[in-house]
Amino acid sequence: MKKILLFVFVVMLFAIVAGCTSSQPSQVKPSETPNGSEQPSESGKEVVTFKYGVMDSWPDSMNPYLSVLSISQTLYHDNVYETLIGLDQKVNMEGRLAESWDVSEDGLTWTFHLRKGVKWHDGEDFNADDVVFSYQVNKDLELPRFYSSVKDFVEINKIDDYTVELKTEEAKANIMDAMIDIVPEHIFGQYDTKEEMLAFTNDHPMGTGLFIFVEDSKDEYVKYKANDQYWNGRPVIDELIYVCFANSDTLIQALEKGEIDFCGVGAAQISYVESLSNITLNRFDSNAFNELGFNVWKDPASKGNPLIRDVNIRNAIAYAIDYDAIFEYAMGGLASKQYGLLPKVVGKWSWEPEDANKKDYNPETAKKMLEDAGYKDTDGDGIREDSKGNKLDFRMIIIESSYRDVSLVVQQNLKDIGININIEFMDTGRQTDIIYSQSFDADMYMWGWYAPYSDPTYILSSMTTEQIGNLSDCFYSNKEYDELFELQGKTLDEDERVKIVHKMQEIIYEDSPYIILYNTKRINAYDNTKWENFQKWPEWEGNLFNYFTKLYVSPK
Amino acid sequence: MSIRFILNRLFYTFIMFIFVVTLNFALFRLMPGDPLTMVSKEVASSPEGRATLEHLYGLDKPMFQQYIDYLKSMTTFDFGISFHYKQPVINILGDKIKNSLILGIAAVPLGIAIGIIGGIIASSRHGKKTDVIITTSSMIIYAIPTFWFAMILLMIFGVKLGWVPINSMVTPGANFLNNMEYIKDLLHHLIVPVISYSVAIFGSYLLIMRGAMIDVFTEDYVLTARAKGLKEKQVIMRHVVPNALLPISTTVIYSLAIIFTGAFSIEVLFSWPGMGKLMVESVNRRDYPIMQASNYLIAVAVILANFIMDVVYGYLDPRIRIG
Repeated sequence: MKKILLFVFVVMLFAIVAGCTSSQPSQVKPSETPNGSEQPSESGKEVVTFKYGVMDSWPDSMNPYLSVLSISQTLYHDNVYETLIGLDQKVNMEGRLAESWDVSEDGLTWTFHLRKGVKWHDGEDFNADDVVFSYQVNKDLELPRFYSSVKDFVEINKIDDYTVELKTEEAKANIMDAMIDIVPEHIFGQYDTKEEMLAFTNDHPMGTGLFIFVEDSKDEYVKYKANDQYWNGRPVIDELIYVCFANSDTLIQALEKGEIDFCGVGAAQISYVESLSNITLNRFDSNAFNELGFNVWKDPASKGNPLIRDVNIRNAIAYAIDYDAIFEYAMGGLASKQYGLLPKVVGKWSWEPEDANKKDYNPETAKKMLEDAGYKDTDGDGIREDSKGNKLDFRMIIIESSYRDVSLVVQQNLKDIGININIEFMDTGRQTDIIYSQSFDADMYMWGWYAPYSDPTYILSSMTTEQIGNLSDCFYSNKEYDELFELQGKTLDEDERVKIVHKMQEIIYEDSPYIILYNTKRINAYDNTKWENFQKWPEWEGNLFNYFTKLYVSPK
Repeated sequence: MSIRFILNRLFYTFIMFIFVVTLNFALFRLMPGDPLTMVSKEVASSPEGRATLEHLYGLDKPMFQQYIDYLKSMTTFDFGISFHYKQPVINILGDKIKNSLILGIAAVPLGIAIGIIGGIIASSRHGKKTDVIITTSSMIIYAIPTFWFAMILLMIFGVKLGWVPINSMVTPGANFLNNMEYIKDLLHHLIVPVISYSVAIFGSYLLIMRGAMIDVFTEDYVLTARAKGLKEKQVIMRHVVPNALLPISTTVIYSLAIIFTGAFSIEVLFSWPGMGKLMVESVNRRDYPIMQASNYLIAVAVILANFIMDVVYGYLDPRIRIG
C-alpha cells in the first residue's frame, strides 16, 4: 500500500516536470491568417512583426481625450492619431496633418493649411471639419487631457476644406502646446454631450496615424498593423505589438530568448544585459528629472520650517550634495547632471549656468556659506543654529519606493555640514496628500517631473505663483519669474523666447526652491542580429523608440 | 440537522456581510492619496479637466450619496466605472477572473492533491525514513520564496532549454487558426506557472494532512480496526483517511472559494493578466471601483464558503451542531 502511494506521489511529481518536455515549442507564426478583410501581406510573404516589451502600468483609456497617463500615448494614441504639427529629429516643428502654417502680424491668428489626400483608416477623407471638431469638442466639453491646450482659443474656424484658423486673445508662443490628437468627426461626432463623450470607451481607435489598430487584450498586449496608405510612407514593419510585462527579470529573459525585440533596461539588469552579445544597448538622458524640493511657501498658513526659506541655507545644501555619489551608488549609474528646469534632451530650451556659477559638490563652500550667514554650531552637538538658537533641523518626506537610497545620501551629506534631516518614508499617495493638501506640513521632499519635448510652458508654469494649489509642489512665488512667464508666453520670436526661458531657469537656479538632483538616464535594448535602422529622437541624445523608428526600423 | 442551526448561521453570515460591505467602502477612502491627485503630475492638468474627471468618477457627489450609490452597485453587481480603465468594472473583472480561474483551477487542486497524498504517505510511515524525506523536502520546498523558485524554473526551462515561453497567458498578438491551437498555446504557457503555484501551496496541505492522520492513528477505533485483523491499507483508507479529511476540508473549501482571486506573486512574475495583479495595481492607482468590487467578491466568496463550511461541518461532525 505504502509503496503504491509513494509511487503515485512520485509519478505525479514527474508528470508535472515532464509536462515541460512534452509540448515542444509551438511557436505560432504571427499573422498566418489575416485579420479582417485587408491582407497585411500578399503572396505569403513573411510578416515582419516588431514586439516591444513594456514594463509599466497599463494605459488608462483608449479615448485620447479622456486618458491622462503618458503610457497611454505610447501604447495607444501615438500610433493611431496625429497632430497638426509634430517635432522632427532635431526637435523642431515639422508638419504632420498640417502641411504648413502661418501666424498673423499681431500674433493672434494661426492658420493651418492641411495636408490633402490624407485618409482615415476606414477610408473616409480627412479634412478641416475633423480639425475644427477636435478643437471645439475639447474646449466645449472641458475634456481632461487637452482642455489646457485649447482653452486659449476664442475662435476655431474652418476657412475651406483644407484650411483652419485658430484665434487667441493674446499672442500665443507655445503653439506646440496646442497640438492635440485629431480624431475623426464621423466617429466622435456621435457623442454630443459631456456624459456621452465620457462614456465613450473608443474600443477600436481609428485615426490617420502610421499604424492601424488591430486588437488589444487589457494588461497583455496591443497589436497594430502598418497603415499602407500612410501619407509619409508606409512603415517598414508589418506589425507592431506591445507586450505587457509585470516583472523586469522576465522582461530581460524574453528579450534574450527573442520573444520580444525591444525593451527598456533597469539598473539591476545592466550588467547581465551587457554580457549578451546579441543585444545592443542605447543609453540616453531622458526628459525626466528629479529634485530635492523645499517648502518655500511664504503664506502665514505655511507649516514649513521658516529657516528653509533662507536662500543661503538652500544654496549651501546645493553645494553639500555629492551628486556623483547619487548617480553612481543610489541610481546605479542611471542618472546624469541637470542644472536648469529643462533637460538637455529638449534642445534649445535647456539651460546651464556658466562654470563659475555651478553649484557642484563642495562641502567646504557649503560650510562657509552657512558660517557667513550666521549659522554656527555653538553647543557642539554637530547641528548648526541661527543666532536665536533655532537648529537647522528639517523634516524630509520621501517616497520610499522611488527615492530611498537618494535621500540617505543627501541626509549624510547634510549631516556633514551640520544640518540634521529627519526622513519620513511614505508612499506616493501620502506624499501627494501632504503636498497638495494646502497644509504642506514638511520642509523638503523629493519628486520628479517629465518635461514635454514640445514646449517648456508646462514645466515653467509649475514655479508660478498662480499654480500654488494646482501644479506647484514647492509653493514658490517670485514676481519677476511670474512676469517673465507671462512674457515668454507672448513672445513669438523664438530666439527672444529662448532667452527669456533661459533667464527664468537662471532665476530658479539662483533661488533654489528646487535643487535638481539628477536627470534619469534610460536604456533601450534591442536584438542587433535581427533589427537595424533605429532612429534616435532627439538625434543627439535620444530614445530609440519614437515616430521615426516606427517608420524606418527594419529586419536585417 | 435542524433548520434552526442553519438559520442561526445565516443570521451571523448576514451581520458579517453588512459589516464587510461598509468597511469595504470606508477603507479605501481613508487611504492617503486620491485617484485624481495621484495622476496630477502626468499631464498638463487643468482644474477644469480635473473637474470633468471628478464628475466622471462621481467623486463630486457628497460622501453619503456615494455610499448609497455604492450599496446600490454592490447589490446589482453593476460596479460602476473603473477610474483607471474608464470602462465598466464588470468588463474588466470578467476577463481577469477568467484568467485567474484558468491558472487556479489547474494549480490549486493539483497542489491540494499532492499535499494530501504526500501527507497520507508520510503519516503512514510516521517516524520512518520515507516520512523524514517527504516532510523535510516538502518543508524546504514550501519555505522557498515562490517568485525565486519560479524564476529558477524559468531560467532553466524557459531561457536555457527554451521549452516554455517566458511571459503572458498566450503568445501576444498571435493569430490562432483554430481553438485547438489557442488551447495548445495556453497550455504551453500554463506549465511553469502551474508548477510554481502548486509547489507554493502543497506544503501546508501536506503538513495538515500528516498531522491529522497522526492524530487519528492514536484513536481507539484504529486500534480496534487493527485488532479486527484489517489490513493496514484498509485501516488507512477506511478509518484513518476519512476522519483525517475533516480538519483539512476547511482549508480546502476556503482555497477553492478564493481560487478566482489569483496568486499575486505568480501573476506578477509571469505577467499573467489575472485578479491578483489587478488588485495590487488598483491599490496603487486608487481605483476605488475595482478595489471595492474585487474585495466585495472575495468577501462574498469567503462568507459563503464559511457558511457552507459551517453547515457541511455540522453535517459531517455531529459534535459541532449540538455544541
